[in-house]
Amino acid sequence: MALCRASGNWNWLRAIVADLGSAYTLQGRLEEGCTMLEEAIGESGRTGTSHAYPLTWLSEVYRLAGRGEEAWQHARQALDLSRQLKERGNEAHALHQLGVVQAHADSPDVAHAEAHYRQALALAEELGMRPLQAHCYRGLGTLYRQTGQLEQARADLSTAIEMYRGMEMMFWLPETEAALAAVEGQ
Amino acid sequence: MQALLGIDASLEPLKKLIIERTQGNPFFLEESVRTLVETQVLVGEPGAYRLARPLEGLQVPATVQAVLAARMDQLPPEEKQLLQTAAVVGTEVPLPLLRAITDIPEEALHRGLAHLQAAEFLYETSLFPEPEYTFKHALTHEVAYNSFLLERRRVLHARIVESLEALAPEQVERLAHHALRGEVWDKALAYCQQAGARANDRAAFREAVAAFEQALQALSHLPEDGDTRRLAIEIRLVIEPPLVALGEYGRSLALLSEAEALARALDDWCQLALVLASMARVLGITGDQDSAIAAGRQAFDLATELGDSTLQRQVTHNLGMVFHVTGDFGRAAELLRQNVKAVDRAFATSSMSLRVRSQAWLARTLGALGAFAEGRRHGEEALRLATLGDRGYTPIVLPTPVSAAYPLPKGTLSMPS
Repeated sequence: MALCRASGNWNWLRAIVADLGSAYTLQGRLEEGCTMLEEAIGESGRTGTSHAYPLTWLSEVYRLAGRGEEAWQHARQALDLSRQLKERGNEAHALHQLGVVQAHADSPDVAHAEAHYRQALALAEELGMRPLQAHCYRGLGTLYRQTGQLEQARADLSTAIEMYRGMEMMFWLPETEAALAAVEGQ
Repeated sequence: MQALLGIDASLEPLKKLIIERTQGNPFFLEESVRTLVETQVLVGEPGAYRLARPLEGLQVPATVQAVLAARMDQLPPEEKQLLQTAAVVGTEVPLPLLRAITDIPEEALHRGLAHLQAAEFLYETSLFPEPEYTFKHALTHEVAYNSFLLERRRVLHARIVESLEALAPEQVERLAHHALRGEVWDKALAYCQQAGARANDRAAFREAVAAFEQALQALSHLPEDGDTRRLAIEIRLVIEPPLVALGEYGRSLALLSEAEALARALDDWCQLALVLASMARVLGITGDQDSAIAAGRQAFDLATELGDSTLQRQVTHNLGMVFHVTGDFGRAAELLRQNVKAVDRAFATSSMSLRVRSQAWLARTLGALGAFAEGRRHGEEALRLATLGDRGYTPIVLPTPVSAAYPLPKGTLSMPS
């Protein structure tokens, strides 16, 4: 990032700050994540390039910070932008993020969350995006657990765990296994 | 003012006048006092001057440039010419170069330089490995340079090119500067291209763009034929990466459109394929995916038809990137994988930079597909190659945004060691 700033390489800088912002968000360093992602969006705006990816991650920052309305708006913007620019990978991520925001709202919008997860899953399957498929199964499984649809919850969480294990995506595994254990205990 | 002029009471109105005119600018102030000393309005020593003439009717020029020009006019003609010649060399004036372009005998040259130093127009900045001079101030240089007639300046710049080629042929930036101003267009074209490539290699993108644009300017002065038209395409192609790095996508696309028209007019399908591949990349970045894919496919078909493997690799890489952006990760991975293998097969003739870029994009694409083990292998290899030996600044930065991100979908938040 420092090298890009020094050389005025804005093309790479916007990608680097977006990636760094998403990594901070995953680590729970929301303030730093927010700063990076806003810079990526600002830089993309200035140079007229797509910013659906950092918008999706900024939505996650706001969701984790308890700012549900802004989280929804950013995810929606990311979806609109990715569709407008025909970036189908980013579209799948934005759909998943809309599902996450709606599932984790103070008053969860179960129907819409499920619909968005399903759309994201369908697109992720079409594009071969297996990590995103696993996230969609985890989201659906967690949602079904909330609504008491335990059979479906068990099936989707198990699929997510299997996929996470298969791809060695250990970061999300403990949380998903705990959710499945909770379902099994009910 | 007191330290400069002294405390003689007769100086008070003069001090007031100078401060008012120079608005306290130290350089302007010093040069004004020096003029007054040289024209014997002031007599005595620094810090202890006296007014030798009445202040009434005294003219203090309104600008520092006018003060400097007046002082230069007071110099003996051969010294003024030496100063002007030095100004054409630049703000830094190596003695061997100055000696090579002046017809002044050695002794007179040293005497003239000594006087110009005493008059504080020039300073000696180094003695070894060769004596070098610099102008006291950028404005001193500017005034001396502009006081030379345009035609004489042009002839001198051209002469400097010849001398520099013998004395310091590695100084391509300087050679480009003098060749342009000397209107030696063929040399200006070659040196500007070299200067642009060097600047791009060290990630000095603005400098690179400026140099390549000057190369285009030089080219426009050469007689138009097939070779110059091909060069016009080539320069528009090499200006694309630094322009994209600077985020100047619109300008890049405009130049590529010109290159496309030139390539079509020449029926140069090889150049056209390269132009279309570059257009695909830039269009993809700006979000015009339909046009990006159309341009990329045209480039791919042309490269396949021509059977030029180097061209095919370049075109395949760009199309792979476009497919990645559109979310067609399967096809992106297929093309990029194919490219990495092709580069490996033709190792001797392949561009390492292309190999690194293809492998880095492949790593990121495989990350989206969840093929982390293969992605990691390619990402690590791209980083290793990029940082191998003296590959310069650009390739080291190059793979970072792509290969640094491949562990992200996996949730791996630290880079592999």
